[in-house]
Amino acid sequence: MLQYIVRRLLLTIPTIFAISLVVFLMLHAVPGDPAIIFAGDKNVTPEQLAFVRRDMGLDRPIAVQYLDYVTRIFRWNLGRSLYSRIPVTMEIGNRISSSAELAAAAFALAVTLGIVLGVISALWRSTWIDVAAMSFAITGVSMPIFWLAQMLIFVFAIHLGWFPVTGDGGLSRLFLPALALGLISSATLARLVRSSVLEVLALPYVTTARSKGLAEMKILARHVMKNAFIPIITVMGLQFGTLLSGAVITETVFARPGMGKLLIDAILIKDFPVIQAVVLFVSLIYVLVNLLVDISYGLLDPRIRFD
Amino acid sequence: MGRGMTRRKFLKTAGAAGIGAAALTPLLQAVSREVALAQTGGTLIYGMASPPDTLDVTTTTSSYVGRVALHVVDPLVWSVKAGEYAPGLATSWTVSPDATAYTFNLRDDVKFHDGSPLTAEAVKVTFDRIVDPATKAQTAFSFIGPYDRSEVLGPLQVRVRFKRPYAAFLNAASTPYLGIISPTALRRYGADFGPVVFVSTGPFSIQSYQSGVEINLVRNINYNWASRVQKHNGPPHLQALKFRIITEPSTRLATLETNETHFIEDVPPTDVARLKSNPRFNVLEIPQAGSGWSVMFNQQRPPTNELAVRRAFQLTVDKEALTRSVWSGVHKPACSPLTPNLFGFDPETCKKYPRNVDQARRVLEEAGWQMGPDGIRVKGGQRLQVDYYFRTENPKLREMTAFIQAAMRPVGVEVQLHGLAGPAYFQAVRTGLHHVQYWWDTGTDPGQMLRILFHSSNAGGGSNRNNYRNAEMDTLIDQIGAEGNPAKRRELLSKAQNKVLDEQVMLFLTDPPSLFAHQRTVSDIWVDWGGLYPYFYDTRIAR
Amino acid sequence: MGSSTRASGSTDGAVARQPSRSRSAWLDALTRLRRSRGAWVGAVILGLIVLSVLGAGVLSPQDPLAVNADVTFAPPGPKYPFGTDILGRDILSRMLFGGRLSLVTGVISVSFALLLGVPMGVLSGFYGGLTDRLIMRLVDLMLTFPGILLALVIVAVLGPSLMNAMIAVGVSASPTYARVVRATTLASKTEAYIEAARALGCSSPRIIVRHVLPNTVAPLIVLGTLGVAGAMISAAALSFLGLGAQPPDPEWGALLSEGRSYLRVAWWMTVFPGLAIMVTVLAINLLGDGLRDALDPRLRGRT
Repeated sequence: MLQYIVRRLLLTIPTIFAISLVVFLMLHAVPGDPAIIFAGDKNVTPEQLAFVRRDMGLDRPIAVQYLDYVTRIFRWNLGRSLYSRIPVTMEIGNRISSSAELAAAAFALAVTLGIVLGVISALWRSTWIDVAAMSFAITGVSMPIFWLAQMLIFVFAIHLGWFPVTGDGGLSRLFLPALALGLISSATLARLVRSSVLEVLALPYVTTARSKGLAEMKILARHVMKNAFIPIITVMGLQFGTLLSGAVITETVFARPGMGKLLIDAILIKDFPVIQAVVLFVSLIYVLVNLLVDISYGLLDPRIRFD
Repeated sequence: MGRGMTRRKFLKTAGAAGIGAAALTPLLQAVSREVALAQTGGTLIYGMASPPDTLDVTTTTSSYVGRVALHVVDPLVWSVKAGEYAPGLATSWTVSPDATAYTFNLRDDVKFHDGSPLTAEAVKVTFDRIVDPATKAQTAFSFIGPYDRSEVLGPLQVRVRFKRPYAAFLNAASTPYLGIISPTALRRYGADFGPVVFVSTGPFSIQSYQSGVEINLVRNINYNWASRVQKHNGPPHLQALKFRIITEPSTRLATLETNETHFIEDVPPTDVARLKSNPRFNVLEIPQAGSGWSVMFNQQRPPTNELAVRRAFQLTVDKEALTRSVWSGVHKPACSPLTPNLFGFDPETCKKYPRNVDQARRVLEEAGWQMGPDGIRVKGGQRLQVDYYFRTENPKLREMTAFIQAAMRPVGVEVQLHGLAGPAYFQAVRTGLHHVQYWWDTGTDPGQMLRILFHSSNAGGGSNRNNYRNAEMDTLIDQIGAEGNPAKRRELLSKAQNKVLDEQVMLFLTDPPSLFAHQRTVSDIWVDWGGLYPYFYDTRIAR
Repeated sequence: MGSSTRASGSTDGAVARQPSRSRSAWLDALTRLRRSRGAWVGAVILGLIVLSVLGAGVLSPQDPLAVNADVTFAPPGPKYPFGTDILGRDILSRMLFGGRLSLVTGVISVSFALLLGVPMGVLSGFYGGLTDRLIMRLVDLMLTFPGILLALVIVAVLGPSLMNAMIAVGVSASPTYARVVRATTLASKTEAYIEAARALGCSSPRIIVRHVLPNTVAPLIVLGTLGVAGAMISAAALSFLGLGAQPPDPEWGALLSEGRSYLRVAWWMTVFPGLAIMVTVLAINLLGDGLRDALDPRLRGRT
């Protein structure tokens, strides 16, 4: 088992380097002179431009710049925001808790609701429960998250006044954004859980177990769930990715000062150090999540360990 | 020990009591002051619309930082109304006839937040620092104008000299950007003074700053040199000021309605009517002093280099409808590069070139622009197409642009939109890629407004994005800057405004008010006559 | 993370194991499709929407760009069924014309994704070896960026515009298509007729075009249809954030962005364009689900 984990861990290293390369190249792929972009909002003279170029090391060969970039990352120096001149690590640090609590709450909601809906519609297949749940699911999957978020604000915050409109801090401000973010994920999850559970329920050994007379619940717990869980976990991992990207929009609509909003604002003003750092950070988290998914695969299905 | 008091004993006791009383008095005074302060107090929470670029008022470019800074510094003079000034840190002053030298006599009872006393030296240090290239001052630099040097004439007397006549200096000295800093602190903190720490004389001092989140100011208990413009003297009634940065307008408004903030700036125009009708709140609608919202035409690029094309805009755009729709009727249609509350505003400009769409068509026809098959005019094979650049950060700009684009199409002008954000926008308009772009400015000196917009020294990448270069206008602006006689100055200002309109250098759209709103429990808020700086020195919050 | 047996839905693995289709297989699929209620509902709704949008010029009560300061923020009523915005422009008219942009954006984005993903998948599956490893590494790299993040990065580099948004969405969706096509290619490579074709001396490109690609059609139809729905939402999201369609283009996401500041005073600016997106995407999803059920009998047992 340990060998499997170590092997998987080692495989992520080239991935991380590849991500850092893509992120680094981003700035140089932009049409236009990066020095002008770094000089930012001021009236720039040619001398100032030359100074900026030397200061940012843009006059050195690209390979050297990349190495420098990577070493800086290891030293935890992600540069400064072009706009606010604040170190990017500080900007990210300020925003992490807001994004983390939103992601966690939404994920919990999505997983709970998704699995429950998926399982009950599989168990009570073709009844009104199934139809209702799946109608909800397909509607949810079709809903744009930025619209759902605003509708929730409109109904529950503006009209009913049950929740504060926007901002962050406190449970009452977390509920609507987590709901918006989690609902759509739960819809996707519900559909997939349903088909996965149905697939396992149709397998021969399950019907055999039933005929042997074991209590229904025991069958469910031991055989069905364990096997259904493999694709479910995959999807949960993928959904985490959707959640991360959905968070970008949710934070913007709910005006929560999280990393998603930081990214969007940075893209709008072309604040590249911030864009690079956030993309790197989020991708690393996603790689980590995928790693966890892979590891739990190994735990659930011994066959995969000897891949 | 006898039963009665001997005289000696009496004197001794009395003496002891006297000494005790003498010792107690300052203690009692301090206690009563603390008690008095405790009865006031409270923290005012201010909803701020824009994150600061820095808290150093010398280097900032943001007018929002100026609002915070006015509580932390004291200006030399306070602006009572256009052209009239009251003592601030300066008790009296004289201006040389040619407006190149200003001599100030300072108060003797002022102390910086670090305890050191205010001296003439501090004024010199402050102003020298502003013009020092290493400081990279922005707004402060433009306000200090043609500064030459300061001469310390005595411990509390300083003479400020300028290279050219600068009639607008008193106005500049009344802004927080020229607030006086502590030389002791500057020497002590060096390069950290500004970015890390900022020491001045104001009624509040900076306690903490969480970037992008909030600024905390705490009251200066020793403050005792308020200007007569304010209602009281001594420390502020408020214990602290908290500026919370809430950039999203609907969120900021919501925090007022849920009592999370006491006072907000930049109220969305669409919500003004609703707030006004709510008894819990008070809306402050103060006409801004400055230039208002306007459109700049690039005089260097065809077709906006043609008077006929620019005039067509003036004759077609319905400013009244624009104000009613985009600005919910809260703004007023504009006539001139100056807002009506500025000294020297010429009301006759409002009668010039009134809206007449047929005339617009005629003007274009006469200039050779014939109507093409697709509804856009053509001349010499060139379509009448105009590149309109605007910033995407502000949705209102998008709306105004859509309005103007829709207005110009029936007349045969095609408006091509270019919405850009932040640095990309500045890069484009500074290199003159645009035909048309927006301008909005605030300020209390009319000469300064005209200089920013029309002086050739500001063209080609500076604030004069009209790229308007006219020797006659340059002379006029220089004369206005030097002219001390009010009547003559008014005449020159009128001449300049009319010239701008006759040559249709720009299109003036609306004159905005500053829109603030606050809880009714908050009282005694002072705002300068230009509507730019809300000031909470006298403010109390009722329980 | 490099394993292709991990399903991104149950589609690619299951479908890949299909034998190549014969004519009767297609007819069977069509019969199943015709019996699917969901597909019918979806197709009808989608058809109505497409027709209205195509007929925008005729159906719009007002000029979508016409400004009228007298009727700003008019609530839905007889003259303006979906209300007006801050400039007095009719929302319904703007939606009808904007729908063209939204639908076309979805289709073009998917086209970009196919243009990029299909060749990658075919080459990877057919030639195997180093080509396969390199291409799959690239695909995996693209998949390490969750959801909309890759699209955001591309727009950050290229700049905000509707075309760039289409490119961004297309590129970020291409890995899924590459994977599916690779799986089908791998499966068909082992078929006997391919070996036979080789033995007969057919060139590789010919084999690819005549034998491999037709196998990919079925899963690609399903993925493509569902992909248009996803692409529409992604592109609308980019426009909503200000990174896609630029004003005054009334693309549906951009309309939602315009209405955002005025949710309190003009809810109709948000409700109706959002409903339009949802209903269109729902219709496409229903149709796509129907297609999937029709084209893959193995999945039938599960529904």
